[in-house]
Amino acid sequence: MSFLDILKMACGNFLRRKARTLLTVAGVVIGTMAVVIMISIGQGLERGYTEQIQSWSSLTQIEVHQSYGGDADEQKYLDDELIKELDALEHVEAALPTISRYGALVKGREINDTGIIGIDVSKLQYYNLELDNGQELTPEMFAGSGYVIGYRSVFNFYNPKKGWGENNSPYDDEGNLKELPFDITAPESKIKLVFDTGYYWGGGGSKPKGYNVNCVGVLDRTNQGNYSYSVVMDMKELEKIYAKYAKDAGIEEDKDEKKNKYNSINVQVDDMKNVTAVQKEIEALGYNTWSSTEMLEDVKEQMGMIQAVLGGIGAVAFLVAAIGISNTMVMSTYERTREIGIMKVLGCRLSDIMTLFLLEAAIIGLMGGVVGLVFSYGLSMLMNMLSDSGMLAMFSMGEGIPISVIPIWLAICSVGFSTLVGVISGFYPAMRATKLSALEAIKNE
Amino acid sequence: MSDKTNENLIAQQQDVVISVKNLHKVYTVGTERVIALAGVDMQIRRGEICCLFGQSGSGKSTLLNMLAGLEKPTTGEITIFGKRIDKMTETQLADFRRNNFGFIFQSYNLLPALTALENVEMPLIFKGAAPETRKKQAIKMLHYVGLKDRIKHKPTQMSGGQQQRVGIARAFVARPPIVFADEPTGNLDTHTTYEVMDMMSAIVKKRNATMIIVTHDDEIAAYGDHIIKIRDGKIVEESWRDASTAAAE
Ligand SMILES: Nc1ncnc2c1ncn2[C@@H]1O[C@H](COP(=O)(O)OP(=O)(O)OP(=O)(O)O)[C@@H](O)[C@H]1O
Ligand SMILES: [Mg+2]
Repeated sequence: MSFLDILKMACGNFLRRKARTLLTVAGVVIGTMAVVIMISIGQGLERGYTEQIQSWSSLTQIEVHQSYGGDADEQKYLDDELIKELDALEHVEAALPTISRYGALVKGREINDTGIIGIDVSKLQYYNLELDNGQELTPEMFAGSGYVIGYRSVFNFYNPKKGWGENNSPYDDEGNLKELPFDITAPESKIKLVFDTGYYWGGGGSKPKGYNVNCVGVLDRTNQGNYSYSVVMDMKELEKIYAKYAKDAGIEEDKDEKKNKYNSINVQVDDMKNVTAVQKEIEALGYNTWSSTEMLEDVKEQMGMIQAVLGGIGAVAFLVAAIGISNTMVMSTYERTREIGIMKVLGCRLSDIMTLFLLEAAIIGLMGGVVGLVFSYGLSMLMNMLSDSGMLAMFSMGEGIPISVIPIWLAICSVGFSTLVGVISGFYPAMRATKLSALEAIKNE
Repeated sequence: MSDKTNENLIAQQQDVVISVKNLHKVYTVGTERVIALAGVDMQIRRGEICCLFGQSGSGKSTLLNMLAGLEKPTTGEITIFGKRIDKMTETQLADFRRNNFGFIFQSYNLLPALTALENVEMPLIFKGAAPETRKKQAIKMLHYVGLKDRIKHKPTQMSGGQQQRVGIARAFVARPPIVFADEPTGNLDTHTTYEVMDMMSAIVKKRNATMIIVTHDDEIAAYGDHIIKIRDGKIVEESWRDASTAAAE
């Protein structure tokens, strides 16, 4: 028999038993939907987490840390030598050093004891700094004690004697980010930098010397990464000011501290897929590393497990559908005993009978899979619409992040899987059909 | 023995299409043994209409089913076209039936969901014939059995005689060299019986095919060239209508 003839025969059998075929298909539709929707929710979660991690830090950056322990003589430091080595690595766009100083911005009686970070402005483009007003940030802007500040940090000016007020929260009662409280870049804001804040806390002594700095911009409000709660300046400028302060206050720096010229070094990698390899190379140099890609992979692994559990719950519905297919097909062999017997007597190949039954089961699976997928897309869209309108907000990872995501691979796999389940469910009935005694079948009238 | 008779014998040997040796069939029902066939030896030649004739329960159907490869003998040999069909697997038997046999049943055994045309096409579909060719052949066959205005009818929309004519068309459409018929007229009235029998023997003779008919009816046995009478699972009498063939045996 040609495959086309078998297919025609299979379709003929469906048309003869429309109601039962539809009911069996309905079972598969529900099973497919259960699996697809469950996994799509897992996918939505995964996308949500990925976007969140991305908003914290760039996925193409690696943090380089000193590795402690081991021989003191072989202790590696975060210094210029390392920067050179890192810059020379393949796939590395730039090694980004930072130094950080404890300090505070002072505005009248109010202080803002945020971290002060110095960066290498010659590599400015790699630090992922963007201004909130959309203006372009250039290395020249940092000349002459220029600095930029994280959006949320602007709210943190307060009088330590009065304590933290409602004004200091960057969020309003509804949890939305507020607009800036004042124009920090205006020259009349008269903000100075101090390295010693004890006086403001009521620690006595004389008022510490404030050094002139000028704010050239506020960082993008959507950036919640490394610099979002910091003051960022050119490290050379920062060191100059600090040296002045050290001289004024008569402080001498710890020698060992000085060997670590930088407090942190981040490495900008050209592509996410090279992050792990570059990380290994850096570790081979004798340093510890951390990247959010690593974290992302952990999250992906966990999400994989959650999806497996969700998918497993959906699979129960699928199992019921599979039993439904088997049941329908077994019933069908009972009903068609005589027909199968006649076919066998007339010399129909056993393999053709086997194919016929497997094909019927596969078609049930395929139809159920396709219809189930279409319904799943519908349901997924509905869920996302409800979440956008706030009705399902409790399940949502955040604004604009869908609850349910059906990637192409899930669509293809679900139809493939339902068809495969059909074939597997049809296997026993098909075997049963080929094993029927032709003689018995045609004898009983 | 003269050379001429010897030659005749060899020619006849070559003409043998079915050869049965010491065939036994024993059914075991619970602890009871039912002997359906108790040592059958026979030969059937090309072009013969062979009647297996006997009373109810004598073992005719059992013998026919074994010749057609639908049932395995307990012991004994069945050779058809030089092949030991008793040794074949189910798959081999299906192939052998498809290529060599046609079947006509007492209860017609048409597929109820299919039209007359589709039923007749069935053996050709199994053989993998192209849709156009098989349709043409099936229609021709239906014309031959006088059902040209019943082509699109389902079995339930036809009389018993018409259904059996569809059965005949189906049995002969693929031009099988051997056709088996188990009481083909058992459900038909006398008039229709003759019609159907005439039709079948005409095709068999025209094509020089071989037909094995099971019957317990004298009138039908009269259509046979070779009549084998069976009682209690044994051949009790064998006769040939053609005197010359009979003499040679
Ligand atoms: N499957 C079976 N199991 C047990 N006994 C069987 C089976 N088939 C046939 N028999 C027995 O074998 C014997 C021969 O049966 P068979 O059907 O060959 O008779 P028959 O000559 O065709 O009779 P009829 O003319 O009534 O059809 C009977 O005694 C029957 O009871
Ligand atoms: Mg019988």
